[in-house]
Amino acid sequence: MPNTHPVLDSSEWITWAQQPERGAVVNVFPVAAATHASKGAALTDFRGLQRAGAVAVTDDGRPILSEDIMRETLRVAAEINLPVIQHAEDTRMTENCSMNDGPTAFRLGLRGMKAAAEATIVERDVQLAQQFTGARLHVAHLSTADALKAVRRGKRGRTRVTCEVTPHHFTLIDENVGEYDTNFKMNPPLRSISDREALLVALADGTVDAIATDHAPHAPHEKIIEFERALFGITGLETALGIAITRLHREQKIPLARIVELFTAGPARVVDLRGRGTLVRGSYADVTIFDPKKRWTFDASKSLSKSHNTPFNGWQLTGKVVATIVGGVIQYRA
Amino acid sequence: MNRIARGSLLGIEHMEVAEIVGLLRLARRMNPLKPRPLLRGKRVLLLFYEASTRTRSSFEIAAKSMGAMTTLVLSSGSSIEKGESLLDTAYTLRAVGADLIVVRHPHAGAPLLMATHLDIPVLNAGDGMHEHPTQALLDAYTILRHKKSIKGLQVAIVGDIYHSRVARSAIHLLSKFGARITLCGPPEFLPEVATSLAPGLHITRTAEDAIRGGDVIMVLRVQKERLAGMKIRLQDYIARYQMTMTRLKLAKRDALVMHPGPIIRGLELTWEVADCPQSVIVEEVRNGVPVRMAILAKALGRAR
Repeated sequence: MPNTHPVLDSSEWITWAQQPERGAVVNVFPVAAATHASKGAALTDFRGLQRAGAVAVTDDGRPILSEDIMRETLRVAAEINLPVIQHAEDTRMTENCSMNDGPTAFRLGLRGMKAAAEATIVERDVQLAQQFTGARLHVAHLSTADALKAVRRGKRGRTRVTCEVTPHHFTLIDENVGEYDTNFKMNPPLRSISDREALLVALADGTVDAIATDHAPHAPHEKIIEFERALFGITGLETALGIAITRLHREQKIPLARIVELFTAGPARVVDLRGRGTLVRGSYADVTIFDPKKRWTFDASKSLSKSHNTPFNGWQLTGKVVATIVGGVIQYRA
Repeated sequence: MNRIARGSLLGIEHMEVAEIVGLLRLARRMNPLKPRPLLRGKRVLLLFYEASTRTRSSFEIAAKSMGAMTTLVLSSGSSIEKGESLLDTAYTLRAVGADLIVVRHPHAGAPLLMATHLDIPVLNAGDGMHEHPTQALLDAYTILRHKKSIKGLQVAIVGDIYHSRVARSAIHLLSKFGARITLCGPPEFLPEVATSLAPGLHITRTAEDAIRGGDVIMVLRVQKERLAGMKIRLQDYIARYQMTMTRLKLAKRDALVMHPGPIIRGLELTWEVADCPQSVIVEEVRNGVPVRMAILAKALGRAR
């Protein structure tokens, strides 16, 4: 994701992000900025970025609000079959907001983000995507029932719209913020119980294409402060599979095969990763081995991440990664 | 999460009725004119990140009159201006010897953050739009000086409830004591979700309906400083919601008119209403002293 300093908005930066000297032990598929410095004004060079290895474009946390710019983004990206990812948030409606709008926000005296701030952007983007043959829209970390409706409408038509959901959004709700727990503060925020139920239905019925973590590590000084001042975001990489198996498979009875799809073939389709996310002969030997029955307790203090900003500390989970193989090399072993 | 420091008063929401009754009883035994030296040798830190007249001065007078030493730290003119974090400021004040910190802060939950990282009591003197528990306690104290009991009283809360920490604390308290509460204001100031705050809350958009037959009319200030991006036309607000003598006549004859202050005459209430015989606005301020004496004594384990 290009929400970096500096913003990944040139082919040089995209090339740099993938350089072997950077020492990544996993595959890196960069997503480039859709506009220069993600300022939402002038489009970046999509062709050049794609040639350099970008698998999609987005302005991530600084969503493209201008209808004209978004239309142009979808139009140009469609010419080269490049997906456009949108963090759907009408930031004009969410100024100074730190959690979902609802009873908990009111009780805590916090300004709330309305579901409409997400849904209106998704509705608009789906409509814009319909205008161009080949346009591909991917809705990042979708969190509301109304936004799902727009995605379903798009999918029923001919629009190539995909979406992802995070483990925290299909597991937790705004009430879990409790008494200003900043480990429950992220954007999009934890939503209402009816939004969460809608996500669970959509994960089961195929509307959702992928599970994504929206992994956002933060230092203690960015989180152990006043709730309204704390940064948005939580970690999620280490808990994603355990949460998915515990919540979706054991509790919601979603078949394991579907969960595997949401972590592998689904996301590979979203950004066209050929030969990945599958075990078909001739594919890359990128394999995650997991034990779907292994019970374990997540202890944030023993996390492999430098950051401990997780809402799942102490959770008992079922399902754990045993080993990760990247390009035929074992990179992680539990 | 860490434990909350003993003796802290952070909000009304999680308080037991018995605890509130105890504080109000203790307040009745406090005589600001003949204070007992219950806090001799104690150091009370007043940490104010926001403007305050009533709360600050009454906390200071309450503490001093019981023999405590007080020190005032304001966000301007302190290291807070240099970017010191809330917790580092709290640790600093603890290190200079504070026995108790009274804090007012623009961000909701700030006093809780302090209370979960300190070993001395933290008293919430107002946090963002969240709670203002000492105001609710002095309001209950004031009501009980005029009414036998809060149970069954018809209370109208009129005005900018959304932005009001006073309203949230008052609603929690009055609801715990069984008052019948009607909330009144335009949708911008009173979203429907407000009824989820406590059981049995009613909403009306018409001031007359809220006031009719009321025992207590609480008027709230229009908080211009919190109206970020809202399109409220003050003239419309005044026409529909301002407390006037005509509207007040709809309430019971012995109804109390309350306001947490500061009042803006000519906006949420008229000059006449502010000074009318039913108005207890000045008395609320006066009652703030014995109530805060009780709160301080209780927090420091000197309640006698």
